[in-house]
Amino acid sequence: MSDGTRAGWPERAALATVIPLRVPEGDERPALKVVPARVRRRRTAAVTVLAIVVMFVVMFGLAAFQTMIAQGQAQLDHLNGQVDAAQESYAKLRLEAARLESPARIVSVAEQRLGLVPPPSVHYLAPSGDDAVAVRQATTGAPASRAAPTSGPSWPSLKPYVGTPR
Amino acid sequence: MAGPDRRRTTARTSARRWRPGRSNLRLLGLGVTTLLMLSAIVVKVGLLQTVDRPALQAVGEQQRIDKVRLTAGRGVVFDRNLHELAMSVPQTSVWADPRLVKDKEATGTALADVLGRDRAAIVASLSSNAEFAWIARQVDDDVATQLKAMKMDGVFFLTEPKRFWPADDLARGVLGQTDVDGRGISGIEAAFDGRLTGTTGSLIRERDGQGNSIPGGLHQLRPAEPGSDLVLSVDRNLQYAVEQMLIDHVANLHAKGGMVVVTRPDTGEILAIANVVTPPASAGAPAPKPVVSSANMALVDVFEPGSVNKIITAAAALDTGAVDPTTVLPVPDKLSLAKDAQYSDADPHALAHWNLSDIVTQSSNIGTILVASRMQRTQLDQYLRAFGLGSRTALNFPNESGGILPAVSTWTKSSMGSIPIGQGVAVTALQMLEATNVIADGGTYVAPTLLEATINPDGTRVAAPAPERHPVVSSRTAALVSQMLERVVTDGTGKNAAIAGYSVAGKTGTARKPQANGTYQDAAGNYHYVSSFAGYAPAEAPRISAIVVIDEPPPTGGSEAYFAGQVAAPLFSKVVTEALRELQIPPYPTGPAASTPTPGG
Repeated sequence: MSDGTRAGWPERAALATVIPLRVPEGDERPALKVVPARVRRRRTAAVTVLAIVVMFVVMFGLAAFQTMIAQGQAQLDHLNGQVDAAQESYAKLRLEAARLESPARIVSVAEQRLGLVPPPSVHYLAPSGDDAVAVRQATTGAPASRAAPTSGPSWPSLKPYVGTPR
Repeated sequence: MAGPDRRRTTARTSARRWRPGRSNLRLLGLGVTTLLMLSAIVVKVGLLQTVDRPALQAVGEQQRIDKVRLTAGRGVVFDRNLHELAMSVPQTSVWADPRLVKDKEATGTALADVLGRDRAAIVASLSSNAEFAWIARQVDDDVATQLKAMKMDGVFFLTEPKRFWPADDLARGVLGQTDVDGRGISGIEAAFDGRLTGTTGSLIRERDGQGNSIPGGLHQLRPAEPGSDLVLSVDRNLQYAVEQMLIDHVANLHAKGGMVVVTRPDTGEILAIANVVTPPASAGAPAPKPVVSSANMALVDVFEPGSVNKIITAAAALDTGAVDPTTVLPVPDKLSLAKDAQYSDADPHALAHWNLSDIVTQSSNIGTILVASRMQRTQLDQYLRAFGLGSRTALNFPNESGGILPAVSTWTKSSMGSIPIGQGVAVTALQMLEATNVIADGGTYVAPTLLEATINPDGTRVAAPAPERHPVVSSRTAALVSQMLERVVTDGTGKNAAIAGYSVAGKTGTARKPQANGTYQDAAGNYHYVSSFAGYAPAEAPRISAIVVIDEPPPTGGSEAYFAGQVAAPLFSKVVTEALRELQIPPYPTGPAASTPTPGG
């Protein structure tokens, strides 16, 4: 009895969980109790059910997560397709715009659709007097140097002197 | 001690149960069969996992792994004002897996009908044992839509870029071509193929039966790196105008072809290069209209420059001190340097006493030869080469010619008669214009350039390196020659090159064309000519320079219609007028107010 087991129950004693009881001082030590088998089965069943539930929840969660990833991937594929289509459309529209702006088409439309014709002559007006001097200075800045021709001033600076370009 | 007894009892019982009997035999057979089947499965699984593994893995990957080659976008070619001259646009290509095509005849017929191609060729492609066969590449959108709607077994589609030139034939010879795979094969497309072509990328991914990416599966993306865009120095509008003027001019002259190059002499920028040819006429058909050439003749074809070369001779003579502006020479109209080297001026004249300016203005062959005779051969050779003759320009254009300038050691006695007047040497139109630009640019050679900048894929613009420059003649020499060239236009052979409101300097050149028989006369004894005019404006501060070359203007009734002053100079005037207007270059104010009409528009 000193080791907490009862004679004749060695196997059970080995299997059962022994809970040492605190023996109150001065009182007689109560007899040890073995948890009834029914209680143990209930606990096992509860743990099993809980495990199954958790497992199902986890599996369901994984499936849901996988579905979300699949949906995200599908959306990504769709967006990539849209990007490709938009880029293709942009390139084609850009080509169309370039074709519409081409000089050959503009001349064709001007002459055939709008009835425009090239001018029979073009008149150029050259400045004279003080304006001529001003333009000369604006054009060259200094007496023209053959050794180092300059690119000259911008058109806006000369515009007042030589009229309006076409 | 019941244990040993129980074991004995059990052994006895087992021996009794497994004693051969009908049901036991069946059980035994079932066990053995099951064991054999399980063994077979184990063996097969072992084989699949070991021996067959690589092949099966490959098949699985082929079904599951999608390897896509991501074609890099080819760069856009812009003009100087960022107008698109060449660009790539995705187009649909059609291919087939012949193994998956069930009815090859019907599929071939349907494809041929929509594509408008030979049915037999398509059926032959579909009848091969290959896994892949091109049906049509880069088809139009409406054709692709039609084919996709037909949903034919084994016929598939993919997208690949196709090169377009939005302005059609504009600058065709300059821009060049690409092959169906997008590689540059001529012109700018070939010259800058490395910059225009990007780096191909790849996408490796796992896909399901519907072609969708498998989530969480293999996904390796190496993005394609698009090529750089090019910004050319060419002005699209000017290019178009020059081409149209040249087409009309060549058509009016009934000439064989023509070339025009327009540049900015101070920067070397090429603003326009027009190349026009008249297609051969069919028997009984009216003369065809000239068309824009697919070859950049102005850089590829060579011709004897004739009197335009006198610009170099005159500059060399002045720069070496062989003559000065006041030197007067007695100039006859004929001269013999050797037995087979007889020279004459275009117009007979009495012995004249001309200075260098007179000689250039009158374009006297004899006067030029006499001036050249005051120099050493090596001196003339050095100046010709310094002016850019005999070597390719810095453009490095595909198939560009360096011209023909014989080594001075091979010059004969007649070379000092022929070469100073532009015979016995050959140049490209661009070379001759660059030589003229030396005078326009105050004696400095500026290498021509077609590339103004590149635009990297990230949008950064990188300016092209500045063109190479080197001094050729002194600024004094250039100024003197320029004054002579102005006289050519005001008083000499180039009067038709004049532009109202602007001062123009330039030189005419009319040269005989060498024939296949090694002489200047064809089998019928006729001469053929190349007429050219090179010059610039405004003469005081040159901003535009141009050369006009007309190939074989036919003599009309023995008249002088082939002379450059009549043939090339008028077109020069029109071209440079347009260029001055397009680039908004005002007249250089020199005199009283003027309001002068000019023909054309």
